[in-house]
Amino acid sequence: MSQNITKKENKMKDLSLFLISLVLLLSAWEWSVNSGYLNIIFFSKPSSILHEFLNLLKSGELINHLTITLQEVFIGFFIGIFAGIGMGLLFRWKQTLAKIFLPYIQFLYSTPYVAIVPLLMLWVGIDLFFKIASVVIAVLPIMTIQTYEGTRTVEKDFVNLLRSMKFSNFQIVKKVALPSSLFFIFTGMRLSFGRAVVIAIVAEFQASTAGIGYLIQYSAQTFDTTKLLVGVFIISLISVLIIRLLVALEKYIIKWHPS
Amino acid sequence: MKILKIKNISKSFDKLKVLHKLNFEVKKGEFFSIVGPNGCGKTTILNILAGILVPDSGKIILEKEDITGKISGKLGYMPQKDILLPWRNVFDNLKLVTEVQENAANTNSLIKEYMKKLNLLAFKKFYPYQLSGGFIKRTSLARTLIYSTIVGANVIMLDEPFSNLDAMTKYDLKMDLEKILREEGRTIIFVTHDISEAISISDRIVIFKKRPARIKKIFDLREMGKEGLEEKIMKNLKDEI
Repeated sequence: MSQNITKKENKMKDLSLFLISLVLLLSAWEWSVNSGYLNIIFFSKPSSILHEFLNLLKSGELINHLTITLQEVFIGFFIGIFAGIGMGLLFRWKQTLAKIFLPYIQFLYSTPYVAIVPLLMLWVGIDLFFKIASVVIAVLPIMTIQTYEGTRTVEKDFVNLLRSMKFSNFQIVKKVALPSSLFFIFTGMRLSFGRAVVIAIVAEFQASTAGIGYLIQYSAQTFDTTKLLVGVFIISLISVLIIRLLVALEKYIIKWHPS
Repeated sequence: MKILKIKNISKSFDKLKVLHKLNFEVKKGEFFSIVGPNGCGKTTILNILAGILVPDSGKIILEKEDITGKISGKLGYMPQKDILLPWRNVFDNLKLVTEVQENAANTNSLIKEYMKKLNLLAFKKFYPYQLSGGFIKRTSLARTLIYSTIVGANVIMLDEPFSNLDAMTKYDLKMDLEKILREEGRTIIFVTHDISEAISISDRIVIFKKRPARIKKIFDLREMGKEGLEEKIMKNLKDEI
């Protein structure tokens, strides 16, 4: 009980510290621009950004851009997650497939994923499919590797015991390997969500007429720093919220984990 | 009546010879202990019997069926390492072995029966990290017994089931285990390096020579009694260490 109170107190303390630092930072920024130390054309200022945010919200422009970007991110993210988990488990189940295909997945994982965007554009065009495919390319390798590595945490002795009880490979994967790798899968999801957002924005930089990436790119070209920063902040904020949500989901699903 | 025959079993790992023409038989309903120096191949023979390892040569006959190199699924096995699934509580860990058996009926009542026999009922919803070493052992043991009951395994192999336990916990578990196994008339192959433990629980004790394992001597406790036995076994083992 007292431990819970201390935990809560500590959390409140952390939050207060963060809020104080945020207020100080924003105040310093606002003051620096108002006093002429920072050029408003390049830096804008918090009050203008807030004002622009409300305007974009009221006009529906922001929601429109956001919906398009989030649609690309979420569709690509979920396809990448399910395909990655499926491949990771398949590689565990059929080790020969792992030996053949895992090096390619590792190569894809090590390749700077944004560098693939122009190539994908040449292959599949510039419509929604292109952006979703870009997100899938960013998410799939990390999810495959995380799931595969997670399944490797199952102790060999235990697998042998289950084999002696006539468990099939499929049953071992389903009942033991998949739950064992949940911790790794959630870590993969958290890491790959950030990658998914980055690549969706980069894909929109390359070719789009809507979306947060387009908003940022267009604002940069027209020296509208305020609008640009609204785009940057809103997508960052949403990313942080989604990652927090994933952490909460992880805590709920893997409640058995001692950590 | 012989239930299990091990005939001329040899096994090497690369150039390391672990078992060499090993021969012994286990009688139905007996408590058969294997004692030997560390690394002499005690666990290897259990893994071969379970079908996890394939012998280089020799035969294993279980109730007239040749099970050499096959996973027969007809032997209960409790390995030395207690591994429970951390995301399942005690009850669900025990349920695991029933989930893949097609013809398993009344599994919940069977699980409850063994939980009662092994004093696990109060810990039904506990996760492995919340259990002491003794209760983890009890859960592993219950899992082996439930599996053996479902598949009708008459032979159960226990690999150092009392290792890493304090004296009191070990005593309690040993008493409970012996009671259950004797009541059920199971045939037990028990691997240990604790001689007094083997003497207190066994009908026969086989002494393995140091690697590569062969039979050094078999002691029949029903014929010769337990008096002075520890000393005799120690003498036999001394040459092998």
